[in-house]
Formats: sequence, C-alpha cells, structure tokens
Amino acid sequence: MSIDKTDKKDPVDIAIEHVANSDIHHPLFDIPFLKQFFFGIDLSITKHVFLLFLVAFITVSSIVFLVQRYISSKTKIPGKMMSFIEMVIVFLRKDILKGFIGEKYYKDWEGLVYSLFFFILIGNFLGLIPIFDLLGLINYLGGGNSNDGTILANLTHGGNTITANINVNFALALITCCAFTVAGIRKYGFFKHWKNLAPPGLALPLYLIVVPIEIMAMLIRPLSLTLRLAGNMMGGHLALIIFTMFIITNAQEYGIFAGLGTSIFSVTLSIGILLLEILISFIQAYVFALLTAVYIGMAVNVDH
Amino acid sequence: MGAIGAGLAVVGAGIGIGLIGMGVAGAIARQPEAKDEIRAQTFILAILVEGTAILLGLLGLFIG
Repeated sequence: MSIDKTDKKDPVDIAIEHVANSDIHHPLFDIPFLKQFFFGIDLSITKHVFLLFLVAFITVSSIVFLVQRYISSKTKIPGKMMSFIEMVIVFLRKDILKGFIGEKYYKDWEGLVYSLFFFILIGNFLGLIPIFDLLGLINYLGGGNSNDGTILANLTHGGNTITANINVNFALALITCCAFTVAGIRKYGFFKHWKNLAPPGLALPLYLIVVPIEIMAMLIRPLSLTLRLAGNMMGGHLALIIFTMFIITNAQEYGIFAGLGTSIFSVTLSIGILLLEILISFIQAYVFALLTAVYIGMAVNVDH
Repeated sequence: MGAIGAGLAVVGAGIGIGLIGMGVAGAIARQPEAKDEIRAQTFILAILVEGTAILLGLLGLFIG
C-alpha cells in the first residue's frame, strides 16, 4: 500500500478527534424532529450518547446478572468476576464509606458511590479498547469511505472515551453535588444545612470573608471533579495517540522505512502508556467515588 | 507562553506530590499500624495537588 503524500491530514486534528465527540455533521442517528420540542437544541444521538447508553447497559446488566446469579445459587461460591466485585465493594465500604461518612449514615449512600465507581470504571475501560478504530480500519480496507453517512462510517468519527468528555463528567459531578446537598438537608434541615457551611463562633466581620469563600469552595467542587477526570483521561489518550501518530507523520515525511523504524519505539512506548492508563482508570474511578464520599461526609458530620 | 505555564504547573505539582510521598513513607515507617488511615488521607491530599495541576495545565494549553 503506497502512502499518498497529497492527502495529508494534520496530526493534531486526528489526535483531537480521537478524544472528542463525533462532530455535529456526523451524528450516529440523526433525529431532527426533536428540535422543535426542545427549543432548537439538536438532540441527535452522537457517538458519546450511544456509548453512554452502552456503558449504562453493560454496568447494569453485568453487575445485576452476576449478583442475581450469586444470590440464587445454592452453593454460594463466587465466580471469578463475582469475587472481583466483592473485593471492590468490600474495599470501598471499609475504606471510603465507613471511613468518611461514618457507620451510622453510610448505608444511605452506598448505592450512589458503588454506581459511580463502576460506571466510571467501565467508561474508562471502554475508552481503552479501540473497537471503533478497528471498525474504521475494516471499513477502510473494505473500500468504504468514512464520510458516506452509514452508521459504520459514522461510528469511526470521534473517540470512544466518554469520561474524557467534559459534559458527561459534569453531569456525574452534578449528581454528586445534589447528593451532598441532600445529605446535609436530610440530617440538619434546610436552613441549618446552609448555616453549617460557615464555622460558628467567629467575630462578625470575619463572616464577611468566610461566607463568600465557603460558597465559592462549594461551587468549585463539581468543576474540580469534572476537570480532574476529563483532564486525566484526555491527557492519557492524547499521549497515546500522539506517540502512535509519530509513525504516520514520519512515514509521510521520510518514507516507509522511517515509519517502520519509528514504530518500534512508538509501539513500545504506547504499550507502556497503555499499562499506565489501566492503572489510571482504576485510580480515577476510585478518586471520584472517594471524593463523593468525602463531600457527603463533610455535609453530614459537621464539627461543632 | 501557555506551554511554559503548563510546564511550571506540573513542576509545582511534582514537588507537592513528592513531599506528600516523603511524608507518607516517613509516617508509615514510624507507625505501621496506622497504615490504612494514612493511605486514605494521602489520596485526598494528592488529589487536591493533582487537581490544581490539571486545571492549570488545561488552562495553559487551551488559553495561552
């Protein structure tokens, strides 16, 4: 296969497309008639929306299926996946929930923390598996065009890491935000909860400084949750795709042997980064669950 | 300039996480029985430092 030098695509564009959603001209399923019900907002199903459904389906079906099978079995011997889930849940319960929310109240928020953990973990892992890039390669080798508008061609536009999308993460962070507000209000009542934000017993002029700082700190929590997850996933995937793009840029500039020579280093480095990314997937899911529990704990256990 | 700023943010975060790691290693060496509590607290501190670095890095790369 010869390399066409006239049809160069900017490597930066390819790298950005790898972590971005599919663009507005290539939605997966175009639903134009919904526009009139939602004030002109385009609600076509893009790739990340489709992947959100997929991740939710995998999370619910796999975990519910495994747990149901375990409960209904007579021997009560956990299988391989069930032991993994048990290990994770025992770890989360002991370290995070009991540690930060407390023995008394952790039962109310167990479901939320586990769901967030598994949802983000599966989202991160699905981003690491390049299924859709492989589909694009198969489509290309089969003579298809990536712009011909079929679903297979549209699937190859955009990356498949939903947790690198700021919108997805902001939605998850807003759930956390609602959760710790509700947790505080349920325990202390509506007005007492907002009073708890500032520590009691300060001099009156100090409150003029403390109250705005506390309100800002509360508003910045969802933002920091969002940017942490998005930045970590986006950074890892950008590093991966840029190391891989070195092969193509070198092959385009200096010929096919330069590309082959670069590929030895690029592939080795990419495998290293991929292993690091697997670790980061776990850590970021853990961190999101941990911070959810910490914020709920801060709302529930106010020091007086 | 943005890239330089992002690099400086990463330098700061690196120093911060290094100091946290130093403290944790020392603390676990002194009190191995408090290992679990120390580890949980470490994560929170490291997350805070890392969050700043990522925020500034993104700002530096996309705005600068």
